[in-house]
Amino acid sequence: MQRNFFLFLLVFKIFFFHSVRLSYCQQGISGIHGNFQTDIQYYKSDSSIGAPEVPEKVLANSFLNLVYSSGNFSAGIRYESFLNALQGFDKRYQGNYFLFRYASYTMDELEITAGNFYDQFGYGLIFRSYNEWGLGYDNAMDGVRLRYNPYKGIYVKGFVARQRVFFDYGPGIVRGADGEINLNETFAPLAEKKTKVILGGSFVSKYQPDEDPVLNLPENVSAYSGRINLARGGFTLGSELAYKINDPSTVNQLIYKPGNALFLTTGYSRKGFGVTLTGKRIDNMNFRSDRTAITNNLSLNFLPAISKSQTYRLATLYPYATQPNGELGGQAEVFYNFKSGSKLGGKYGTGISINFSRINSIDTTRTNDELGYTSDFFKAGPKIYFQDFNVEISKKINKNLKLTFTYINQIYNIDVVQGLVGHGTVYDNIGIIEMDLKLSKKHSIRGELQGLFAEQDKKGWAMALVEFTVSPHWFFAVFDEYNYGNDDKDLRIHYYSASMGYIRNVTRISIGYGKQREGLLCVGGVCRQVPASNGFALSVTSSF
Amino acid sequence: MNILFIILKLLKFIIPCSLSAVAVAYATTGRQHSIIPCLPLRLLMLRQAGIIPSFHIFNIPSEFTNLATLKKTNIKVNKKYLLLIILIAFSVNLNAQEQKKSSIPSVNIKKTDGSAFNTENISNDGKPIIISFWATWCKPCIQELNAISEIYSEWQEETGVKLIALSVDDARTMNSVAPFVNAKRWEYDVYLDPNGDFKRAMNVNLVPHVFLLNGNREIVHQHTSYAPGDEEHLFEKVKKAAAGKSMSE
Repeated sequence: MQRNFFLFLLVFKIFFFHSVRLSYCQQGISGIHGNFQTDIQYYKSDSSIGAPEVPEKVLANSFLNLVYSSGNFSAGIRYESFLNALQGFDKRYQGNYFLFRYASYTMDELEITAGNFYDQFGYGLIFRSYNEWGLGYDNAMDGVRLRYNPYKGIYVKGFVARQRVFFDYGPGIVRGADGEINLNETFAPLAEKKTKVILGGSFVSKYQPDEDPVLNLPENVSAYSGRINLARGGFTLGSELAYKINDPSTVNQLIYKPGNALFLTTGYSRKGFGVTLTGKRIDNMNFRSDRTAITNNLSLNFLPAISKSQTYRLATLYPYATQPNGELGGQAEVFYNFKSGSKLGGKYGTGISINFSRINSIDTTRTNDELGYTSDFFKAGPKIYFQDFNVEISKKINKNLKLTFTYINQIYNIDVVQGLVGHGTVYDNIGIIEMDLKLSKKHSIRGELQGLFAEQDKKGWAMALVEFTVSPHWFFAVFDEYNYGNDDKDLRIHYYSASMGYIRNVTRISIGYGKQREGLLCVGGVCRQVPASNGFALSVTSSF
Repeated sequence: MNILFIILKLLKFIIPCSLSAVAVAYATTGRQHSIIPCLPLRLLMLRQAGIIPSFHIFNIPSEFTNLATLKKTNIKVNKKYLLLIILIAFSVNLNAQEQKKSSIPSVNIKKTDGSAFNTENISNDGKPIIISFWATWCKPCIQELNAISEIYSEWQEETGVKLIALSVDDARTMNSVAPFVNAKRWEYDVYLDPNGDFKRAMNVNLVPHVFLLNGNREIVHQHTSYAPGDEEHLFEKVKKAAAGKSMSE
């Protein structure tokens, strides 16, 4: 194992340090390319905000991806270093390793990958392998994957692999296959039809030995899914239905009930107007390659959270994450732009977007057998998990000034979503004003003023941010978050911070100093709890 | 011209074709591996054809000197031999090659109607292309694409540039992409990369990340982050690419 990596390192090292680009006598341009990021934080303990003592004082997460590609061949390797992992990352991310190595070759319509890979089947309801560095989420597969395009519009892929967990493999062996057919591309008479139809189906099976002395656990667990996508003019429809056989696990408390998931989304758009409607039902769809794994480890599938991906700071105070054991929800969104010159549009146009989402528990009736419960498919359960109503109006006042007004109303079940007990449900309202002002061709200033009003949990918050940018290289920002409403006077703290950065093409260096509140950092529905911290943070990213 | 230089120039064509095969074979098996000896075979053929003299820059073992036996036997490659090949390949190329720009990798992404689309089909008839990685949840990305949309028709008139807005929204938000783009009246070509395959292949860390391709589909400029005013800077580069000039002129 060591020697393989050493040789790869030697080959890449020579090319990397001298930036040599090999040219081949055949077609195709080749070379070494990659990307890099390092996040280093210095921590001071601060009892007022609950920032713990960090014995190492400085923690750092880094990675370097190297890819060599030439014509139809590519190979890559990644170096990861956690010395030690930043606060909020699982402590088992520790040490330095070369990992994520692969070689891939495409000939005619067949692509072969040996080593590590990421992939997704359909919407990911039964299989999605991906990585999100900022969250410490990486469920990479390691094995053999084939992708084949035998005929126009027909795509088939399959793999046999193990799955990554920290710097090791999970105990399970995973096999999967996916097929998709684009009817309009495959069948010539359909090519000119206005309605486009794509059908797909996938199958994933995992094997894990049964070492339980009492229960008879299924060693091979399979999941199936089928999907239909339609498109016609400005109208689209996407749907996927998944089914998983009995899969007792730690997350579902060892019940034998099969699982199912339904995801349905439609949308319509034309110039100036867009609307989407999404519905989802999840019933016992926790699917991992290790039945004992929890949190972000060894998940085989991805159940998308159908609520708005918030970007404003206070709106991320209560972020939603999908409940794999069961939830039923829907989301509706409308986007509209009043044309510039019209009455409501003003001289430069006005945009409005409205988003409403609501997620409830599923109907469950407990049974006293190994199945756990039964559930009526179309009925919603009694508990509200999450509700979110957003209105955002953006208006360009003149050539240099743009204002955005946002109102958000949320209902958030802390106990269920964050896995805590005794915190209840928060009902909050948020108001945000954002101003973008161009001072000159290269100088620009942006300000945000946010307020969160609630009678539960930490109650009221206020936040202000000012950012000054000098195109194309510099940015400076100061920001303060103030928990003015907290019942406990000692916790009415200002979380202030200042940051600045330098950007040159693809390299970005930023340095920040200040206090950060503890909370959930969520990206795309996967969350990481970050404890409060006080200190410096340095981040460098680049690609080449 | 130096005889050594002629040999090295010829080796340039030979060494690379064996190098990657050797590197992969060695790495996957972890031991000395017999490879199709394109290096010594071709050297031998050239020598027999009289193109290169009997001057050897390194010792070719005796098995290699007979063309007939060479084709029949499996030849083991010595580890030292391999390192030497690597060093030679590198030094040869440093002398004989200028830096070549890279093109974009061939990856399957999706169109907004769900159908598959391969990035090798991204083209603009010899005119520049901008590929902008963005997401509906990324505010600076939206700011940048808004700023460019206001002057996009002028850019197109002057340089013929085409902007490809590549959304990295995953299954959670990818359904909102087309309605979002249409409502804003953006005139860009929009594609989806829901599992980040193209984003990873292009070594993108953070969004927004913008690539500028010249008329030959080669990457001539990249930029990450967005500050109001950056689009002017980008347009200067687009004009240079459209005129066929290099970015440093």
